[in-house]
Amino acid sequence: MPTFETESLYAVELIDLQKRFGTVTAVNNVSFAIKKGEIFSLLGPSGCGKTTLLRMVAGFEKPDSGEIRIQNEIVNHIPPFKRECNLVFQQMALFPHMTVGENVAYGLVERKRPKTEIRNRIKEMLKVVNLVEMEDRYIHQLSGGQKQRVALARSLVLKPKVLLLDEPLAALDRKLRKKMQGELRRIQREVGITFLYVTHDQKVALSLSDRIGIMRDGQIIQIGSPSEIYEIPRTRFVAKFMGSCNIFNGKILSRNGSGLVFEDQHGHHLAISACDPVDTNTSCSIFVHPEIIEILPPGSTDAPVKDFANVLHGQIADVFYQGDFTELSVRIPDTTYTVAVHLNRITNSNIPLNEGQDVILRWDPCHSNILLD
Amino acid sequence: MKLRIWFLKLVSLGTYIFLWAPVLVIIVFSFSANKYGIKWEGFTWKWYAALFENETVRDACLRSLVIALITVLVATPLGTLTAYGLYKLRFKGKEFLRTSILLPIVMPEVVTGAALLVFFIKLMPFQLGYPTIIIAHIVFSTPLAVFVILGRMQRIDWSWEEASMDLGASRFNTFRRVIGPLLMPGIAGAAALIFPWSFDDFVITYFVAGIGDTTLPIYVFSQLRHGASPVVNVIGTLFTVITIVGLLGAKLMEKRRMTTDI
Repeated sequence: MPTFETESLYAVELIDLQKRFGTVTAVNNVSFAIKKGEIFSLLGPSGCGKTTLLRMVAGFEKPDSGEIRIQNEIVNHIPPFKRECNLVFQQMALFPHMTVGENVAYGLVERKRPKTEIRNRIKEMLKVVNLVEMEDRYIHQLSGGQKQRVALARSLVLKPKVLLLDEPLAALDRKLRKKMQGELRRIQREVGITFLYVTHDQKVALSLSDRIGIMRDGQIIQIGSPSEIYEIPRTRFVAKFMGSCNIFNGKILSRNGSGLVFEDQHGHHLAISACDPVDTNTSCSIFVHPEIIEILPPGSTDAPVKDFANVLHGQIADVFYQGDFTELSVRIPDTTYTVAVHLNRITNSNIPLNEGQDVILRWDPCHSNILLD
Repeated sequence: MKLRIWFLKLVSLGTYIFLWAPVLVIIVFSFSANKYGIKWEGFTWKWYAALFENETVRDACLRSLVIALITVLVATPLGTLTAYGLYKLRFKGKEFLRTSILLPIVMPEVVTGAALLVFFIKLMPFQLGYPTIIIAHIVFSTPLAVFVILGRMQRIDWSWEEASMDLGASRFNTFRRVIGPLLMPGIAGAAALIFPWSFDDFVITYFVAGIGDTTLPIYVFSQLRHGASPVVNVIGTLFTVITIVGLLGAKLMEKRRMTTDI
């Protein structure tokens, strides 16, 4: 029965994509789809294959196998200059012998658009990126943030079906990066173009993206919203990569209502909420983030401690003052591990934060979960 | 310590005297009334007048200019394309080609000249003259262009090329609109180097010139064989002045470009 192809829900679809360089598999069997209008980040350590993946979508690398679709059209064999996607380079690659206006006009001139249309679209685009009065400047006369916005304008003016960004903020200093993150999101909402954003910076990915794909050794290992990726990492790698995270090794002891009881290798019992059905006695790991752990003075016997919270007794081993929070390293007696705790200045109770101080650690089981590996 | 600086200054001074003294002598004697042009016998313009009346010199000069011009116009684009291929393309034997392109530069001119002569009279049925001189000049000039432009290419950020293609430009348009203009200082430098090189080449030209089509260096040489002539001093003076003016001009242009370049 014939079906009518409706317009795709996705801006980009990657199906079983594979790329090898010699003996190294840079991208290994990657499949995922990016929805129209979203900011999708590929996040991973350097060398994980994320840039290769991006360059394959742009057309600068040819996949060994698999399919790349841009709005339902297979583009594997279309050269980069005919693909309806544009790449914002990490080094920006602005043409130094042209003015800002000429840079932005570059692609439109290639497309042989009429002069008046080019003029209007440059003006319009420069307004979006707040660079109207810079039109006649040369690139070397601009600041880092301004160059970044020119690079963005030069690609966006072509109204690509997807904009590919290769760590465009990596070269900027911390303050400017923060500002440009906001700019990027504002511009993206304004023009409504899908972004595929490659980065190794967790903070940028978390604050910028609608969805994040974590990449490691050429594979996508978890895809989800920023809060899912951060709060419910499914593997040890993701948990660690997304920030300091406490991981306990042990096994599932029993089922307890909607949750599970976990026993670590030293015999401590910890309650966890369970996303997945897990058999008892399976050995596994669980995690808890340092910022959801409370500390209580020793000898606290109030009821909640025992009933619906996880409790560990420990001793402060190290204190790292960070300004907006204080990081504690708490040694658990008779074990090999220390638990990291982040205290913000409000929840910090009046316990003296000195090395050797005995404390009770407490956290809600709903913030703990099982790691799948 | 003091002595060493003194010594360095002395050596530098000596070097400059050796560089400039012969040139100054030629300039001074080009105005001397002495008919052999080898000692001062009072000021005169007459050798300059003689030069401009001498048809042989005019022809030789014109010939040299035309040869140098054609050489620049052919060797520079050829060298640019060769450099681009040697830098950007991946193929077997590239390293060998890249090294061997320098061969004409390091080979003694006598060898190149003799080889070309044999080539022209034994292997290719060429009449010695204008065409063979031009071909010979292109042969030794193109590697120079390749050399200079390869140097410039090392300073090009090749993500410019990818950016251009990403924005919709074909390989050809990318070269025309981005890579070409950014290579321009290198291309202009190559042309500026090739022109005088071709203009005053003697050895190779002498081998392949044949009879009749004399270039300026060959004319000067033949004049000196019959004894020193003040006209030669005049030619020397004119070229020194023109070269210096050209160099100053190039320097000035470079300074102007520095303020807008990269």
